[in-house]
Amino acid sequence: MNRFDYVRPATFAEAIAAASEPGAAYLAGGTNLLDLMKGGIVRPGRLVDVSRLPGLGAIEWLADGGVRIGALVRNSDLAHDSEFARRFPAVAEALLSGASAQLRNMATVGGNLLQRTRCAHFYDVAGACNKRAPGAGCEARGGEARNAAVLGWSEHCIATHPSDFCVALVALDAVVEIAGQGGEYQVPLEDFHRLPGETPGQESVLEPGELIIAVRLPAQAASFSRHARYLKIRDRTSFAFAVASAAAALRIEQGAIAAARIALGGVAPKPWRARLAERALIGVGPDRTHFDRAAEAALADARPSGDNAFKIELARRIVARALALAAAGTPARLPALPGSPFSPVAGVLHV
Amino acid sequence: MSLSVLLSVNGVAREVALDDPRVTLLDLLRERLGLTGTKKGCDRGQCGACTVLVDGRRINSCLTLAASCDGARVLTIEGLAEEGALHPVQEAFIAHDGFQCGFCTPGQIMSAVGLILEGHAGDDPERIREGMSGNICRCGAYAGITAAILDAERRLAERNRAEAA
Amino acid sequence: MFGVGARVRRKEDDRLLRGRGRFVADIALVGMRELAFVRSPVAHARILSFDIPEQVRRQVFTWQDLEPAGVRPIRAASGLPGFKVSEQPPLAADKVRFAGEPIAVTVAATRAEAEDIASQVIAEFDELPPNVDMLAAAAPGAPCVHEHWSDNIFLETRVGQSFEKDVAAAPVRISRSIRTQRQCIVPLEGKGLVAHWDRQAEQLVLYTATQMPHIVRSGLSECLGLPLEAIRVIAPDVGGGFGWKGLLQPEEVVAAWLCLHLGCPLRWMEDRREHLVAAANAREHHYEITAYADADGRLLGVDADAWVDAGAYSIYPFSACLEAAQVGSILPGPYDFPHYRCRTFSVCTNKPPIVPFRGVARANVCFAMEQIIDAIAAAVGREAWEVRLLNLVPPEKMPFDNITGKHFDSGDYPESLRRAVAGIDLASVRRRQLQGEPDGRLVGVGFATYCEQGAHGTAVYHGWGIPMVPGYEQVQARITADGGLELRAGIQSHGQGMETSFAQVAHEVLGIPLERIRLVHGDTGLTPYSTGTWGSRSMVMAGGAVATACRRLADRLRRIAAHLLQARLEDVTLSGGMLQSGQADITIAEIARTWYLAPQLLPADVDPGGLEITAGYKPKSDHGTFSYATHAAVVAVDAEVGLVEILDYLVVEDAGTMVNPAIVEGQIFGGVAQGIGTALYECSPYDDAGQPMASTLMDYLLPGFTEVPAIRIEHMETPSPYTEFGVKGLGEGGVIAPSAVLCNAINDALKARGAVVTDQPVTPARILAALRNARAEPPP
Repeated sequence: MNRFDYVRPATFAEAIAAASEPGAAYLAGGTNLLDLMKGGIVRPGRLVDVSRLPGLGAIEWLADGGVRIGALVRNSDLAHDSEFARRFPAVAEALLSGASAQLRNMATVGGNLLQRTRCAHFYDVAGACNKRAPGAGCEARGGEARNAAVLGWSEHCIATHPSDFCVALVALDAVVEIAGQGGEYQVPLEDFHRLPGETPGQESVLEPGELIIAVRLPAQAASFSRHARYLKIRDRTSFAFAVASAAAALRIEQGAIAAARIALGGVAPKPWRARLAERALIGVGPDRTHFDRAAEAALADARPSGDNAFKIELARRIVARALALAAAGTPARLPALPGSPFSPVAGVLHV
Repeated sequence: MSLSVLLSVNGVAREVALDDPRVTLLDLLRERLGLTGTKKGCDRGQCGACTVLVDGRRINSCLTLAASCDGARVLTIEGLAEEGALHPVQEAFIAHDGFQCGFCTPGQIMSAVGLILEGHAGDDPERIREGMSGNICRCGAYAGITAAILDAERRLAERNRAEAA
Repeated sequence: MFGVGARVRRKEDDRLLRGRGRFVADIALVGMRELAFVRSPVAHARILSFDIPEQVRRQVFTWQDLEPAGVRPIRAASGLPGFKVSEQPPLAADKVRFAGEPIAVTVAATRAEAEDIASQVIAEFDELPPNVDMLAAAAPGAPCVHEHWSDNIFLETRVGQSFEKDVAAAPVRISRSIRTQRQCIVPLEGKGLVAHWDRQAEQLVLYTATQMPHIVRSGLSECLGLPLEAIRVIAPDVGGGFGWKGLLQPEEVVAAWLCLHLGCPLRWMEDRREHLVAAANAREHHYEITAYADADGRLLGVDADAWVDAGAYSIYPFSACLEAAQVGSILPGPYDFPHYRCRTFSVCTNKPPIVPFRGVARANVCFAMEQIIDAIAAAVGREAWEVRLLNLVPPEKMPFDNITGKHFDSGDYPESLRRAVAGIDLASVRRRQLQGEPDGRLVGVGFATYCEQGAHGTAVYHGWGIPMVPGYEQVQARITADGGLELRAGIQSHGQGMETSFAQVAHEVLGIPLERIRLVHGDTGLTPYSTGTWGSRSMVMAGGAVATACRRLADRLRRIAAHLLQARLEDVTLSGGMLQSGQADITIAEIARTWYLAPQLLPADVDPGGLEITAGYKPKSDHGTFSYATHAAVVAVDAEVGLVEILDYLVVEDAGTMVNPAIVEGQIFGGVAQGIGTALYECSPYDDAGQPMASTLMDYLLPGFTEVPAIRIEHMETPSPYTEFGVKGLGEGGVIAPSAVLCNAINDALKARGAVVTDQPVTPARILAALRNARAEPPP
């Protein structure tokens, strides 16, 4: 880990001023930042510890039925908030499918949005990576690309966004509240992350010093609570990043789909909203044929970025299955293995 | 640059001057306070050997800067058992053969204590396994640890009932 | 009820549970400084120059500092004809041969500061084309890793003769290409050391996380040119080894020399990235196998070529060829068949040296051979277990010398298979397959049977000609003046519970209570020489030596007791710590008090060796022990997404007499867990430039709580005819069969779709690829 200055500001203004300096980074839960620093992948000259900033740790229910989640709310606290989990079960399931219990106790909502990719070439400090060192080249292209993106990638970067939480959030139209030197503003989560294009190092709209202060879910997002799931394929049953994942939420009225929300994880440089697929479901019955069609639409633009063509077919199947699981109804209690395809079906014998 | 950190470790107030802000809570415990029971397995939050409770919650002490723990209450393996008697989780680890080489064990035990405090897993072995997935045991004592946690939960519940009565 | 066979609680448990174990990282010495290594960022290059800032020059050391001081490269030759010797300077000399190879070391007050300095050390390289894939590296024209060699083959071995004409009419001929992945060993405690100079003893003292302290001492002596008595190696509590901690490490040589050079205590702790990318690599094999069988599935012959990616250097003491050479001798497994030929190649590549990992080579050959058996069964239309049964060595042939001269000592191999078939309830799995699953998954069942040589004898290691040959295993036993027993053994216990099991053996002989028996181990200064803990040998060899030493102590106790009780020697019996003759008795403690505090009462002809003995032990046969097992598993494969769930896992094993069944079961659980990792999860891939791609435990996935099911164990106990109490080695057994069993079970599930997987780990991507290929090419 490189040497750095450590500051713990008491106010937003101090924090923003301290973090506007070149080479500064915010520290909240530290689960991703410290890992990256220990690997020598990022080397901030200053850490601005915002973990104690007042006013960022609450889950507030808004008058219109929406929710405002402070940026410092811990993943585990949010997922286990019974009211939150009842209204936004796919978000809770996504949260609990990620990382380990210890990490969920540390990781914050704001930090989760800023997670860096798990691309092995990003972590290989001896090799070239445009995200780590702009202009150096991308060794993943033509290299170890099994886990790389099939949507939204560019010749400059094929890395995926690793978050589970963001996938469910983007499906449900979450909005990010940001504070900076110019004051506060908000941006839909869907527009918060940037595609790599020619500048894969710029991963979000945040300018230097800007701080995520909250994430909001609109009241409408709770209207999917009866049919909402998150499904995640991992190389290991638990504590692994997604090979491919999907959040699926349906509003079913009189046997037909009135509204659908679909997003994909592990397949694109950002949490990937599949709006065409959602539209394909409006007005049709919740059955496998339509789910397969929606899955086709969700991956229509996909193309392999290396030896990862399998992910396109896999992602289609995940979308279709997530939709089928959502249609079957949100379980009364989150499954023991959140997001896992191993979650039991009645009549199946498990270990 | 020097930072001073005041924290309670196993019920004892400790003040430590840090000459380097890079010191993690794990290194603070091991290298500055001589509490070597908490182990460094991967130092990247991926094996769980460094698990301790901070303000009652289990966390990876290797990914926690000591500086950001100013004012925190830390419980480590050394503070779990009363002198002489073992904590029920420790007793259950013996009864169910929950370890071999013993290197991951302090982290497993602190994680298990944290899991029981959280109260989400109940007596469902699958939920316990999922809740413990942040702790790797390369000796493969997983089945024993799961059985130990179930057993310890029962014992703790009985003790709590007895104390309430 | 505390002796051999008792399920007693471990003596080690209390300190470990309280966090009071003393592992190497827990040792702090006054004035101790920390080391960090600068490692090569490239896989194959000439080192042109170092750029070291002047202000840190005195804290940085390279081979230019070590070589003039007389430090020698690590050299692990084999006596097998044709072996090419590699020399590994502990800091690279003029060339680097794998990414991660240490090229310089830095010293500072803290690890963080040492790393700061390391980051300022810049080396300039002239890059050379790397050898990344072992088959390409073995091909003519590949650039040589060691330029004075003629190719990249450490050693080629040949077993058996060509037999094609003998099997020309064989109705079944099965050929398979099989690949096993490069793995990392990953004990939760990495490698680590503390070195200091003991001024009083005039000794270099090296605390190191090792399972073979005496061998580390021998290697250090060779590299540093110090006499053995000037070096003491101490293994404190060790957090798992699994083979990784059975080597002399370059870092140990560097740290030991620096300690002498600087005169202050030094510590180095391997971090997890170093472990994964630069160190503990294992198990990368490739097989081309053809097997011949008759129409019933009876094996007629096996013809194989096997390659082992041995990495850049030959490791001390096991050498670069142990793994491949073993493949040639153990590929036939527990089967009896008439024709065998095997060529093996230990290939030198630009990757870290391959090191022994629990179940060395055995897990790989089991994976290969058991796939072949299943393929033969499919070809002849029989259940795979029936074909296994047809070919297993039957109990009436025991002891049995197999086709490569392995001497199988005892046991009923077919019975383990029959019990596994019954225990896994094959018939109900077959019914379940016909019915189909409510969730559409495909269920499959698989079996694998193996036998495992443990506690290897002198001849086989002499034959390999490597720097280490196990001879008599010695243990020192001393009864203390208050009736306690101290045992001193050169092995090292790091999770095997030997402080307990050896006490059980001693208790069995002497009757001294377990709490009064103490094992001192892992310290060259306090214990007799031993090659250490490896190869499933400690219980057989050192346990046998404990029994031998205690028997001889018992004899001396009886002689003194006869005198003190005024009885005839042949009337004195020892039982429960008490020596008796008729109504008269005397405790061991009373005899001990007499020896130490009242020697005037001793008989005139008392053995002057007293109550302290060093006994050496070898089993009656030099061929080692052969434990065996059949593993069986039921899996559910989700063909849509490629995921595998283990529904049931059964082990029917026979490791001879069990000293402590709880410890035996722990070893089996742990072995199976690691085997599940091999089968489904663990992989350390390298890119075309020779860069390791799995640098964290989120890339190198270990099996955890949700991946390892509850494993059922059924014991058989056929004593070895050759060892004390009939024990056999078993520490590695559990890890041998899981990848074969799970692969066979997955293929049993996939057979409905005509798909076959042949390579491990069997990841979702591999299963989906197999299904896609099956769709593309429907089975004939």
